Amino acid sequence: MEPVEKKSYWNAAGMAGVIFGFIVFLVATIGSYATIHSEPTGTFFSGTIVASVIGCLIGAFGGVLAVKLYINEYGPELKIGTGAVIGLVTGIFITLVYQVFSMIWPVIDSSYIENLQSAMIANIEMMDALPAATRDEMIDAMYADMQNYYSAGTIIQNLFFGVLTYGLLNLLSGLLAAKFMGKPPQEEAI
Amino acid sequence: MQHDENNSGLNNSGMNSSGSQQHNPDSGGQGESGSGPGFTSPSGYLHQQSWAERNGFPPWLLALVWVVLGFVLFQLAGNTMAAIYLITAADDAVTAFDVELLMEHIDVLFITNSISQILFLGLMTWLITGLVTTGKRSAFLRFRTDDKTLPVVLLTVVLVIVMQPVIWLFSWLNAQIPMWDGYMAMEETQMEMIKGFLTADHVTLIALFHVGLVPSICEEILFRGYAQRLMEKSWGIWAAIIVGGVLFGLFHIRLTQLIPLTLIGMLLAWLVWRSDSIYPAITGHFVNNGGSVLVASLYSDYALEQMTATELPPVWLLLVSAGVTIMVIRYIHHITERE
Repeated sequence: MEPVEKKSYWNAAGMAGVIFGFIVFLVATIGSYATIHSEPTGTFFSGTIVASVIGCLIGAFGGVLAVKLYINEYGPELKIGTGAVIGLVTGIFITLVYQVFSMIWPVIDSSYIENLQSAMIANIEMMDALPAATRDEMIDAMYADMQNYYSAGTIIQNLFFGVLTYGLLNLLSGLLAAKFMGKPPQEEAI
Repeated sequence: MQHDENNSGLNNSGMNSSGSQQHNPDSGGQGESGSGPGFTSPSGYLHQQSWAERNGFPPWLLALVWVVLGFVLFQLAGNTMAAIYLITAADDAVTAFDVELLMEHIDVLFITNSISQILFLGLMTWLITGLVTTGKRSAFLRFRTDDKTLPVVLLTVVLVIVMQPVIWLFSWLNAQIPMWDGYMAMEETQMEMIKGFLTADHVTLIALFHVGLVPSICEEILFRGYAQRLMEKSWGIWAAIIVGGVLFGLFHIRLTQLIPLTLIGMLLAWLVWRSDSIYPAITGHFVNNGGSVLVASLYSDYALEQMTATELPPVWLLLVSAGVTIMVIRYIHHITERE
């Protein structure tokens, strides 16, 4: 009996996850500094929010790269279900890498959290359309979030929502990449 | 029939960690032939493959993804329907996030919640099951009975009632875990709303429908019917029971009740596995939720106390409850032994 070649997707997913996790972190951090160094707008569309959306969109393509790497390594024969799994694992890696860098950066720039907090609070204070009580509540919530930046609860919450978002987005992109870049294994084609 | 981990004639079929697929027939539990394409094995046996198998989707992935997506769609649809109603029905220009307004229209929240559960947890799960089986959906989801089903259903009723003090103990233990203030405030608001609905004068039957009947059918279809079956195929029964229980606990977004809800989920999963039928789980779920409705309508203060679990039940009650619970579980285990 011929030995069956083990096709592991961990390398492809890990590499794509590290690359896209770092890119997402870069985009988010640039967005944060844009918020810190700009005048408060008084709207919800701060640099941080825009960067989060852009980062999310870019991060969704991790699954495509992972499937491409997998195909480069083993050839184009793969099913869309395999692409979906590769995408999901890539999304998990992206979340982990992003979380690690997000925790390291405030150590490198020690005033980062404080500056970001001040900028975001200043932005909320400019939101004249909101009732004062609502603004105060938002500021309190934001202050509490920033104070708990390194707490286990915040980290677990970030990981949970990150895996949910990047996992599902990359599952979809991995599935589509397998559909368009791969082809069904020969013996399985009906 | 051997009552093993593969359970009731459903063969393992899935993808291993390296992404290669195992090819096994999926009988849907009843042996009906499906209409999907297949391939002929060297032995000449025609393997029917579901859409998921043909496309290489591992069962665990389809279980987890649909539990998460189903939850998101259920929440989005329910909250959107409620928000649209409240915004259009309210006399003054108010936001849909006004807690007092929500309390005034608490019935709307429960109705939209039930509609959303039926649509996304029930019907959509039923439809999606067609992707993972070539047999009948009802068989895959274990909507079936045999001579053991009725005794197990009756014993489940007894089990859920006698285990309440034990559940209370786990609620108390869970309550000892510190939670952050913002979350506790949100959960207290949620509990006040539930209490307000359950203790209203005229709604016991309606509450039994919204809190008892709808979740007991829809959530059981999703968790014990669909997800457990798929996780069993990938990981075996015990992992399916544990992971399914944790997902069931998380699904309710009540961290102060995570431990008891997880344990109830595991118990219901075990009952489904032992009886090879979803009916005991539906019954147990209904008795648990319906019992809360009845107790809340009769003794509202007591009900809230149990919900928040600030005090332990008496020790003698706990011991009796634990003892009888173990006896009933052992008896169910005994009568569901297969030759």
